[in-house]
Amino acid sequence: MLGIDLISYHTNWSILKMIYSHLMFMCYASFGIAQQDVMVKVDALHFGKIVNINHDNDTLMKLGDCTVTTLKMYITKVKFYHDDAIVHVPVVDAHLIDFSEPSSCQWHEAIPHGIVFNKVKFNVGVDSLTHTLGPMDGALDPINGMYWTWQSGYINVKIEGTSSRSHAKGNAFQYHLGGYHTLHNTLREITLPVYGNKLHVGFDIGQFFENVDFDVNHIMSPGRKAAQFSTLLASYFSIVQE
Amino acid sequence: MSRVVAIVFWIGLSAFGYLSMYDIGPQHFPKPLYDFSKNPLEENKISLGKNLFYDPILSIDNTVSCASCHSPYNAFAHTDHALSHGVYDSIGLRNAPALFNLAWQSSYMWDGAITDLDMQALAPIHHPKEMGESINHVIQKLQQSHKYKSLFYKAYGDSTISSKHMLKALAQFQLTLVSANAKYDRVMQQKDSFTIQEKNGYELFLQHCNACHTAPLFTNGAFVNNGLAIDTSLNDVGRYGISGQDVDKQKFKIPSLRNLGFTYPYMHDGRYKRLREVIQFYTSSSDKNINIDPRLKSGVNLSSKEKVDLISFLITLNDTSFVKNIVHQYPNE
Repeated sequence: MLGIDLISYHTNWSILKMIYSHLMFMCYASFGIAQQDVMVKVDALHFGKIVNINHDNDTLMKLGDCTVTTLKMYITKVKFYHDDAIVHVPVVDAHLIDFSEPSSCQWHEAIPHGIVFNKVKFNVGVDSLTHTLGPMDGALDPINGMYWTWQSGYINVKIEGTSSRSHAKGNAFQYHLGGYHTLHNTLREITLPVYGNKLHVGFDIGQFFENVDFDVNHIMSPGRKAAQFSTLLASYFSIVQE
Repeated sequence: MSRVVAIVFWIGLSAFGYLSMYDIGPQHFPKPLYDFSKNPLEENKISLGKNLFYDPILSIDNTVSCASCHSPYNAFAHTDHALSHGVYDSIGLRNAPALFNLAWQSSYMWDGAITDLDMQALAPIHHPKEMGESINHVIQKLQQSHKYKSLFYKAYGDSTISSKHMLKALAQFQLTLVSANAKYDRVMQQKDSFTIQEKNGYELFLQHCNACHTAPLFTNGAFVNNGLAIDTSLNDVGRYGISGQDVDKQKFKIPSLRNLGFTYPYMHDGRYKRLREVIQFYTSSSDKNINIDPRLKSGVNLSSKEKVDLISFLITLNDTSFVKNIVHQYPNE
């Protein structure tokens, strides 16, 4: 009796497991619950090489004659493409990348299984539509210090530090790039290829500094200069070759 | 019939809390520009906003509240102060504007720097010559307050105090500041009538002033260089500071003329204490800056009697019931 009970117990268990697996498969198949995990990572580069960020003091990095004390930017509206078709739009649509906080520079994107993608587009900055949505939580909360208070508008990118090429007091430079109105819109869309399940984005701040006109050492409001700097900055995004 | 249908429809929607009198506004007003669907007005949120509005906790040294410069008795402007003043006795650059009918504005501040009422409070909170605070620190202070934990819970069902809820609540209270019960409004609603003098003044107003100070809001919301000579101690370039466009030099937002009896002194820098000085300015052609709007260049030609008539009409824009409305005043605990 005991043997039969054990057999029937095992049999029942096997049947239950089978039913369970079958149900899970059905769920995955019909509702797309199975997901592929894509790691998104953003790194600062110096002529193609990943910069090791110093988290011990205020100087995040030293690149040639430039030191960087602040490097923050909004990456928003990430969209995954297969060729020219959008195949996945993440739920979280704004990320504040603060290079002094490693956790803000990488996140995982859960994309339903079976979706094939080979390209990604995202904005550096906050688009004009988002500016009409009122106060926000999370990355877009004004407590993050990336919202101009004296006028309406997010600061898309903050880069602060020193350079011998800046003739301001203490060789300082301070670039607060923002402005969402049509005339000097600073929002820039980046398109990059994606290889495999990794999106490793590099911003080549070394090349940016190489080409910046440090005669302009402070940008603190929207306008022509902010738009020019934003265009320059956007040209130094790439996929990090590993 | 259509009105009955509209009222029934409105009552239906009101029952769900989606619409209130503020969303629609008075019948003789145009449709509000503010999108109430993103911040539907509710009693507990308005009450929270009112508490915040009157609380100096928003300033760095807990001395200055919104109401310090936007007093209910002055239609939420600041009588007798040409320029706003803030923490540590600092004096600002501009005259504190009156606050009412904000749902009908598309931009705020004299230079239109702010395009979203919900975000406006960040400006005075952070301005070193107004409240000198930071939103982070204000939130920290509020989080330590039992009173605000309770008020935020009542308003949002969440005692975790966030900047989002704080800013939206402040906007809610300010949206309830609707002024639409001046004599002018009652005349338009055929509940009252103008005197002969006021009627003459109204006709002069329509002829000379209404293009910019457009009824029934008494502003068209545009930016204009009205010709004021620049005050070299302030060197305020107005709208140019926001747009960077040469054509915007010394342009300022056209203020509403409603409640002007309560909101003196006048102009963006409060340089005129009396209404007759303002009329004198617009009727003269001398002492104007070179970029003056062409429509104002030669000055409005008015006789002494016409000036008096015009002023008598302008006084009909004073909404005493608004400035005395106890609902808008300092919250009772």
